Amino acid sequence: MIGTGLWMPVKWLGGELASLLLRLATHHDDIVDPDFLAWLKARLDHIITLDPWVLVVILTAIVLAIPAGIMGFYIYQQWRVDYS
Amino acid sequence: MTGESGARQRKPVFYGWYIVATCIFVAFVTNGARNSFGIFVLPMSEEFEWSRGTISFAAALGFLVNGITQPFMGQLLDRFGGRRIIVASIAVFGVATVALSLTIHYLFLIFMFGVVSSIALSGMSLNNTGTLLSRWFRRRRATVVGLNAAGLSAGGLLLVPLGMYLLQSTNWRVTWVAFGIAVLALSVPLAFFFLKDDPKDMGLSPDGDEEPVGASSGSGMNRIAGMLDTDRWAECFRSMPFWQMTIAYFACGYTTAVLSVHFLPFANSLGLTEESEVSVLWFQMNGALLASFIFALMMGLNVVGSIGAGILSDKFSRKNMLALVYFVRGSAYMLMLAGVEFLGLGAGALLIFAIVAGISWIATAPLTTALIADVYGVRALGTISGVAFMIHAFGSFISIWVAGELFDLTGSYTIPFLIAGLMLFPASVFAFSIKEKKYSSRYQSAEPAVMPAAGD
Repeated sequence: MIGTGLWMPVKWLGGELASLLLRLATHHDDIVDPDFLAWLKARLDHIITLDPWVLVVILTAIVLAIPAGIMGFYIYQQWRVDYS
Repeated sequence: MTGESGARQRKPVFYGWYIVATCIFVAFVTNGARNSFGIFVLPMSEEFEWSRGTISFAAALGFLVNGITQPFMGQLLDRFGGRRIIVASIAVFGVATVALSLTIHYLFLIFMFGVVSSIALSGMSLNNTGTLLSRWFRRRRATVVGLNAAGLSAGGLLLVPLGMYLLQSTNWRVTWVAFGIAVLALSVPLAFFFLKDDPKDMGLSPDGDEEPVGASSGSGMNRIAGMLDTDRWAECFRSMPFWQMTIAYFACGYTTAVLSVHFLPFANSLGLTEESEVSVLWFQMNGALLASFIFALMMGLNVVGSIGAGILSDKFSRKNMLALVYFVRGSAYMLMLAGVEFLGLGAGALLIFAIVAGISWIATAPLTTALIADVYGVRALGTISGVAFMIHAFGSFISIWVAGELFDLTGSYTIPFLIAGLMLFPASVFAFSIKEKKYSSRYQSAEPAVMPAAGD
């Protein structure tokens, strides 16, 4: 009985919890729903007709511009304070 | 530089704003990379012949691990400071993201995404960055946490499409590497350079203000404390405001997850995913175009709502704003259900919902974090706020499960959405009944009034 009792948490963790997580996954976690993202991609393709590489370059440039902008503003501020 | 010379002295921008910008960018990149996981499901499952359930298990486990570890990572931040924990977490997250490109076995995916990446994400979550920002800002606390929260939405909005197009142009391994490098090469240096634990370390006060009247020299504004201000996180359990906030936050987690997860099937049931004309209020529109518009509108309003609620709550009562946000979201659910079930509005009901609910979708996060900081102070904020986030995650976790089961039983989303909507009105009452003027440091004088936490 004690042995069975000791195994219960392990069984629950390995079996019931995994089952619950899989059950949850079948109802889709918001970060994993491939159908939703495929649907979204189809909608985007419907609206935007540019080559995928062009979009990659544009979006990457936007991402790179943010830290560059923060750093640039900081340097400008330092220079402005020192100069004044 | 001196006034005697007559030269105009230029005051630099308060350093805290660099910390805000850095936290926004960190949230933007890391959550964008994290939320892109769904785009890898199909190519990875095709290459390895895994079932979707196998890959989804990694995400579901990650969701749970991320929620459970929030208080622990918050406690690490309280103990070791924001800079060390956040920078280390970003670095681990970046390495784990690059490592995902080396996946050859599903156990590796489950461990790397479900465990390592999820724990690292907790270390730089809104809970932890919000705690750091709360130490740098007091008057504009909700505004800056709201800006940070908006970075989460913006990341999903920009990086998920970037990942989609990169995946289309290359393959899933290159895309994981690109995301990982973006985190390691951009977020880590920026956070390492700009993040500082406390304004006191730089001889500054929160908001860049002068020292308050009545505070001793060099003490900083942290000394203006509410009566529940504490450095022992467990004491919050003995006071009402914590339970009022977290019970409402549970409802928040429940009601956001239930729709974000079941959005597609619900939109399908309204005919939005078909290339057909749908009736929207008094107009005829293309279903696909309307669906895209609704989704973009909701994401955009998330950002507006998060920042707007933050700014307003810094000027007016936070708990009233929080109660209003819950009430608006509850009303949005009820309007949507009434529109679909009784008025026959169909897609128009979803459009109304997107407008009303979009404003309130992530606005609760900055308001709750700021209110916890105002009531319990910033010394144990990481842990206390982490517990609140964990309860929020439990709400999300339960809702996905319950709503799915109810849909299977009834074949409709009416009951799951009705439960979600009805939960929000008591949540609004809980938030409204918080005695903010009694407990919040915003309404205290500069004289410290620290007492053990044992509120009514």
